[in-house]
Order: sequence, then structure tokens, then C-alpha cells
Amino acid sequence: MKINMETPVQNTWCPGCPDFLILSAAKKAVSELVESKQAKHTDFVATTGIGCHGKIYDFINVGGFYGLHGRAIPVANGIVLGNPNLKVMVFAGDGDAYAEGISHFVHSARMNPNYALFVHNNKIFALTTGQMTPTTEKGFKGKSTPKGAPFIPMNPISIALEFGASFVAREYAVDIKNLTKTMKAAIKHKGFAFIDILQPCLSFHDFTEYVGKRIYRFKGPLEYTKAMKKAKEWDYSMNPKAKIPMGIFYKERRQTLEEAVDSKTWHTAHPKRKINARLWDSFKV
Amino acid sequence: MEFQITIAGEAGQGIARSADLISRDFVSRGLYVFNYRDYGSLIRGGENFNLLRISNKPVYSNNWKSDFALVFGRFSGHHLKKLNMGGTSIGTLPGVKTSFNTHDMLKKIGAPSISANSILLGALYKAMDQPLNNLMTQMNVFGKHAGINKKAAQLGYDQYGGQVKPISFSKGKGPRYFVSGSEAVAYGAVSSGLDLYLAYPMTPATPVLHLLANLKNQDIRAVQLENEIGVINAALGAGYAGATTMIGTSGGGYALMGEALSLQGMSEIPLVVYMAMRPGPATGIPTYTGQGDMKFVVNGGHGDYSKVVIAPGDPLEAFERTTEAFYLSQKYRVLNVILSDKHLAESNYTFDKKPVVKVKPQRFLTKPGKNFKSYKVTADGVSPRAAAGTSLVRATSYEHDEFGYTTEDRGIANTMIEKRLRKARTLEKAVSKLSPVKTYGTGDNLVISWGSTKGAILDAIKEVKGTKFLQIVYLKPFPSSRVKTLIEKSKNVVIVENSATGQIADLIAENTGHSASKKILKYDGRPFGQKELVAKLRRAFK
Repeated sequence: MKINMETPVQNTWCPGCPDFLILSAAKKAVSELVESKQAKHTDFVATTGIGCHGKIYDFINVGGFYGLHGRAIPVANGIVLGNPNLKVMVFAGDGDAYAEGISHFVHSARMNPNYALFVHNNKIFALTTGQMTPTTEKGFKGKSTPKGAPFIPMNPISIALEFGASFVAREYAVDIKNLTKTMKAAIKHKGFAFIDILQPCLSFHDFTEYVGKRIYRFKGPLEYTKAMKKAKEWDYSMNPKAKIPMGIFYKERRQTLEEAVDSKTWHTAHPKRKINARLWDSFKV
Repeated sequence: MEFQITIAGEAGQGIARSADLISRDFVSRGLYVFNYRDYGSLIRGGENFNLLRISNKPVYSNNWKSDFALVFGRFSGHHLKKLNMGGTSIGTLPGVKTSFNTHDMLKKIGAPSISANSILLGALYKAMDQPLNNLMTQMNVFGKHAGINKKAAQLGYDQYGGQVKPISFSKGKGPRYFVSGSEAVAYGAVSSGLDLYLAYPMTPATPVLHLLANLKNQDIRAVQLENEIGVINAALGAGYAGATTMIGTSGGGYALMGEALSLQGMSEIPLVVYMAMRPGPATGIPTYTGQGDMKFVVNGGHGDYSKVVIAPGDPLEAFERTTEAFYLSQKYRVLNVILSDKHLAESNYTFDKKPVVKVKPQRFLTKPGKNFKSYKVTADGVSPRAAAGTSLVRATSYEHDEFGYTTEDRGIANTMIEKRLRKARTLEKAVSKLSPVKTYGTGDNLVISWGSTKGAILDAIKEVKGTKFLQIVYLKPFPSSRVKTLIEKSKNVVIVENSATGQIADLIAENTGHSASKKILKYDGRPFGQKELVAKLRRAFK
């Protein structure tokens, strides 16, 4: 049975934005999983932060939580603690996950909650009209850095590996076929499944040509030390000599957050709780 | 019959444990014990002390002078100056009336140095002329170490040759409950249908995290997360998924949560916050008490939205009011803050009755159909709530239409803002039925206060003739008409608050137009003592 992935909301991304490709890959991943009966449509929930990426909340027909800037990840942590059976997709931006929300990003990698994290990485704050983010290359001239961005970029892939993410991948929004495939794998993975999705911003930071010329696919997942080595092949700078590896760097099955705390779907496990007078009696001396 | 015991020593010497043993013994014999706990921000070394005020009538506060003092630490000599006339002291320091060489005594019976407090406890029982067996019974809590501690207590009892001030009383009737504010909030929350407690450690809220994490036979989870921002956002995520959730913190953590408190207002996901104050600003005096965060909590969170702030005055109320917090939060999809402080959280009180719970825990979850409207416009402003996964349920930080889709349309924005404002009026009506204020005593003199000052005020007004106490339990929605009427009926009005500015006066002025100029304030991190407050009230009402 075909499911409806469309919403009535008018799309307000810039024409030609690779966010459209991420949206269509996500819709495809969800509908294929539902139509092949691997999941129910109502099980899917998207959480988003604030930024261009966050608009996806309005454009994809799944349950959704449009959170605060940088906080799509902790909201998702709560969702899986409240109902571990939901299929959560966390959409975040690079400013969102790597600047404002970096503490949640690294600690959630350790905690290993079961959801897929898709970071729309355009290496720029776009909805605020073009300022550097933690993945912007040094020297980038933006409105807040007219003399060029003064700091080196961070590498979210090696950081995710360092902090224990149990599924780490990089994809390119333009390669929608591979993106859809990896998104599906991430949703099916039990644990913190992170994809850094390169998504050039046509308005403020168009690195289409740089990335397009340098990407290559490798056969993953790799053993941990090899994955880390592969992760460090590109440091998110605009180094002309760099090659950019694409694919699944690392994958392991490890105890999830929900398993560690033995969480459950509380509202069905305990539809009615009662006042427990015995609890006050325990203070009796 | 009333007396007070000081137990003072270095952190790590078993001060709190000793206080607990004595308390439980007297409470088990039908007396009322108030146990004040004073400790610094340190784990070993430095000074800790407990004050046990014990009476055959209910007592809810301490005094600053005692009749007996057990003093064992290097830093505790100052307690010797804080004895009532005829008071006696026992300890290891020079200057105490009866001094023990606990080191040698313990060596003789092969007991570890940690048992020094047991020697002194034994001596105290002799000084009070109390049956040592009662103490021994309480010592069973030490398990396999009970034997050696009983031996030490016997030694202290036998070797005590100082002044004996017999405490005599007849055994009180009926059950007695000995409970701290932290315990009452934690157990009250479980009784209110709690599923998840999320927190990041911060004094003085942490005991609730510990209690819930160690609670057995209850199907709930307490989870420590990465920081306060992670905690509150996760709590809203869990609430969206259908769980009944509480989080806990103190002022600094509450400040970090600020943005997401406002997210609660927009997303309308039920949330209960346990907020235990300590003196600020900033790190302040972390292990002491204060009420200076009240206006911050009442006003916190950007934008216009409804919330509820409840300030229980003692553990019995904390249990009762926690159930109301959950009920209101789930039913009206609002933020509900249980405002406590270190004094209420970490003092132990004795009660002879059980809490009376006026509301039933309920999830207030609907079974949604297709095209569920998370933000349906209703007459009372309350939209039916559904758990994520039961339909395509939406929750959002953006202004939205009834389905939860983002909008910037001015017509829809007005409709939704007004929907949320109607909820404020609905809440006011609901809260008016839950005794949002309480009054005690009669007279033309009116004491107005809120929160943990209740104990000292109740104990003090018995000795200040013609004094009525108005306790404001619901700080938001503010019970304006009740407060206004009582102020207008009274001749003299005085505010009592554990803060430097008397913030409740501003709240009263804002809501009733009455300004209260007389204030009794205390802001050194310590609670009001009973006698101290009697003197201050007499002066204020002169």
C-alpha cells in the first residue's frame, strides 16, 4: 500500500537547494520501510532543530517535534526513553548539532540512543544569512567574518567515532541514491546512527564544485582504527589536494540508551497509575 | 516539654547518621523531632552539624541554642557558646563539660575510629537519662557493624560521669511519620503517576535523584543526562512520547533550562519541574537555603505563556501538592514548578497524619484519529493531547496552526495566542479549588509568607498574640482576591522571607495593588529560628 508522505505546507527552501534531495531521500526511505512492512507509518517521528534543515518538519508527513536550535538530539533522547518503539529520525543542521548542540551530539554518541541522526551540513548558518559554523573552512569570508573565518573547522566524523557513535557515515545530498540507501540502513541500525550529509548552500556557501570533484566511495563499514584513519582523510577544509571518502565508516551493535535503562512505552505499560498510600507509610517510624 | 540537641563534627564523622538515630528513637516514642542539617560544600573535613528540636507538641523549626551538645570535631568549638542556661556538652574537644578520649576507648574494644560518635551517643543517653536500649535498637540499621557500635555506646554510657538532665515525657499516641521535603517530593511524584525522572546533579535538588534512582518495587526510571539543557529537552521529548515526566534542579540549572521552559509554553507538553532553591546569585552558597529565586521562577521563560508555580511549606504539603502539580500539568498541558529550597528539602519533619490527596493521577491522553489536531482551538484553551505514535502527532516551538504546522499568518497567530491565554483563565479556576492559600491563627496582625518559612512562622506565632499567618501556596496563578481581602482586613501586615529583598511583596503589589512595606528578611543562607522569629515579629507588630 502506498503511503502519503506529502503535507499541505508550501515549501520555502531556496529553489534548487540540496535540502529538497535530503527530503526526498527521507520520504523514500520511510515509504519503502512502511510499504515493505518493516515499520508502521505512525511509528515514524522526526525531530528537528532550528535552521533551514528544520523546515523539513513541515514537509514530511510523519509525526514531528520541531524543537529549539541545537536541541533536536536531546528531544530525541527523551522520545526513546518515553517510547523505545518509535522510529525516530533526527534532522539537524551543522550550526545546530555542532555549535549550539555539540554537548548533546557527543554525549548522545556515548549513550547510544536508538535513532538516526541526519545532519544537513552546508558548512554555514544559512537561515541567518551566512555566518561561519564549526565546519566552515578557515578563511571563509562571511558577514560576521569579513576578513575570513579565523578558526579551523572541526571534523564531525572523527569526533563521532571518538565518542563512541555506533554507526557513522558521510553522504552527499546530490547522490540521492546512496543517500537513501544509507538513510535506510541508519534507520534500521539499533543505536546512534549518524550521517553527516554534505549539502552545499547555493545562496551563501556553494561548495558543489569542490565536493563534486573530490568525493569517492569506499566499501564500509570498516574496523575502528581504519574507520578513524579514513575519517581523517578530509578535515573539512577546502584543501585542494584532499579526497573526500563517502559511505559507512563504522558500525557496531552496542547496548542502547533504552536498553541500558530498560525503558518502555509508559502510557501503554501503565495506562492507569494509582495513588500509592503505602509510599507515605514508608516514612512511619 | 521541649529540648534541643546539637551534634557537630567534621564531615565524614557520622554527624547526620547520629542525628537520624536519635531522631528516630524519639519519634518512635511519639515525640515530634525537627532535624535541621547544616553542612558545607565539602565531602571530608570541615564542619557539619545537625540541630534536633524535640517536643511533645508538633515542632517545625529549630532554635539556635541547644540544651545538649555533642561536639567532636576540630572546628566545632563555637557550639559550646550556643548552649541554653544549664546546658551540657559532651565531646572530644577541650572546653566541653564532659570530655572523652574516644581514640583510646575505641582501641580498647577494637572499634574503628568512625565509631567515636557511638561513644558520645551513649554518653548523651546517660546525660538525658534515656534508656540506652532504645538507641541500641536504632543502631540495628548498621547491620554487621551494629555490634561494635553498640559496644561503643555502652562504653560511653557507662563512663559518662557528668551532669544528668533527665528528659521525662509520656509516650505519644498514634503513628508518627518522619520525612524530609526531598522524600516527600520524590514519593509524592511516584504517587502521582511518574514514569521518568530526569536530572543533572545540583544541590539541593540531588537527593530526589538519588531517592528515585534507588527506589525499589516501583516501575519508574531516574536517568542522569548530560546537562540541564539536555534534561529539559529530553523531558519534553518523553512527554511528547506519552510519558509522565519530572525533572529536578536548582537556580543555576533552572537558568540553563530557561529556553526550553518557554518551549513547554509553546509546545504545551506537560512538564513538572522540581526546583530547590539555594542562595544566589551565581554559585552563591550552594549547600545553604534561600528563597531568592522566586520571582525568576514565576517570571522565567521568554514570551507570554501560562504556568503554575506551587510552593509547599513542609513535607506533608510537598507530598500533597506534588500530586496537584502532576494533575494540573497533565490535564492543562502546562509547566508546573514545585518550588522548594534547601531548608525544606533537607530538613526532617515529624507528622502525625497522612497526606490528603485531592486529585487522581491521570494521563489525560486521547485516542487520536487520522489528521489529529495537536492544537485544536477550544473554548477553555486546552487542546486534547495524544501520545506520539498513536497518530501523526506534532509538537512544535514555532507558532502553528491546529495541526501543528508552522505558520506566520497573523490571523492564525492571534487565534493560537488567544487560545493559550484562555488556558490561563481555565487554570485560575482550577487552582481556586485547590486551597491556593492557607491561613493559621487569628488576629489583626498578618504575617504573609510562602514556602519553607512556614515551619518557623507556625512555631513563632503561638507566642505572638493576635497574629494570623497567610501562607501563599500557589504563587502562579496568584490567588489575588484571597490575598487582597486578607490584607484589607488586617491592621498590621508583615512579609517574612528568606531573601534579601522580600520578593513576595512585589508579587502581592503586582496582583493586588497593595504594597507591604514591613519585611522581616534573612539572607545569610540560614533559615529563621523559632525564637529569633518571635523576637522579630514582636518588634514588627509593636
